[in-house]
Amino acid sequence: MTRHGSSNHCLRLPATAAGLSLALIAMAGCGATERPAGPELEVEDVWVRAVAVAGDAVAPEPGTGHPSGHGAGPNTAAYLTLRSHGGEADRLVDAATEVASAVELHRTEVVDGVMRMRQVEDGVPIAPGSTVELRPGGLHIMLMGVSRTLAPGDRVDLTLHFERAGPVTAKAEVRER
Amino acid sequence: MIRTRFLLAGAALALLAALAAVAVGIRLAALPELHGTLLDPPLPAAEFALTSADGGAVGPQDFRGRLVVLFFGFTNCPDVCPLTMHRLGSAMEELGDRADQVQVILVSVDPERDPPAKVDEYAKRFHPSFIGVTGSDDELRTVTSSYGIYYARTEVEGALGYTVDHSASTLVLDRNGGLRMIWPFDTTPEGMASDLRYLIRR
Ligand SMILES: [Cu+2]
Repeated sequence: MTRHGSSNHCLRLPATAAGLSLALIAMAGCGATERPAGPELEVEDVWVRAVAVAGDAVAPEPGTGHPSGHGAGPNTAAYLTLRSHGGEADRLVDAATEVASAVELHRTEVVDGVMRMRQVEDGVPIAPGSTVELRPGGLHIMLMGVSRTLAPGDRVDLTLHFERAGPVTAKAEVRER
Repeated sequence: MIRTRFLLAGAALALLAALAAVAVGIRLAALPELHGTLLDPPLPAAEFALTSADGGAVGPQDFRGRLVVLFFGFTNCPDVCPLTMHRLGSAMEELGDRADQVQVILVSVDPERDPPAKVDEYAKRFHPSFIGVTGSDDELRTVTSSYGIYYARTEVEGALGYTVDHSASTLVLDRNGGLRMIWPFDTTPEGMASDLRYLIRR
């Protein structure tokens, strides 16, 4: 569990995963206006699709290797569920992980049988009380230029940046699908 | 005289209709719930010669006597392609010892980033029997248009540089190379295995 405060003297503890789920307690402040603590935004079921890096552990020299859109290394995607329990609207605006050279928020759409994938320019809004799923065939966090093989069962730190709640680091489980 | 002829003709028609009804009944009884669109009769499907990992030419005509499953994608696709390939791999597991009657071919529509060896290695990650091929843009355009598959390289903002929009359907060719079934993107491995079992039995 992580406590997020809006004023500077509040402690921001590193987030840890409780099982697969991670709960954020977003508080209005730490002073007299403190509201009853309750998880307003939960990040659940965080996972990354397994991916193999050819010739793993061999770091490609800069400018070499096969371009995968960004540097060397293949691409994969991370998925999760965002659950708001009320409070204020928030927005997932960015994400980062050290296993990928670039990370973007993307949306895949299958329209009339054709798959299109595009970057989500304005982030992923989370309305109060709503649940937003990032799942295969829909929204995903695209990891580009993955530097090492991610095998099922591995865990990867994934830092999510929320407009209000700030950065939250979750442990993503690597899965086959 | 004329009347008798009509009666005879009527009786013959009735008999034919009855026989047809029985035949349809048998077919319906034998037809399991299908998960894709069955093409009956199969559509003629083009042979092709795309490049495999060892540099040789490969096409569905090399696998006559087996069902050939064709999927068009690219290895940097993080979402729809691995999902479909994974489902196909699971379907092969479901099929057990009948899996050797099915050949899955992944055709990369991103030859710039996917040399044949890379596509093949990628395909084999989902099942050791899978093969991956690709070709020049001209070759791919010919193959995809003959199979009704759409793809388009699209420049995008961000680190990706470009992506390839493409049909997310999977095609199944029968043992004689005719286009027999089209699975939509969201077909489950169980559905695929069930349809393949049906097509193997036929
Ligand atoms: Cu993506």
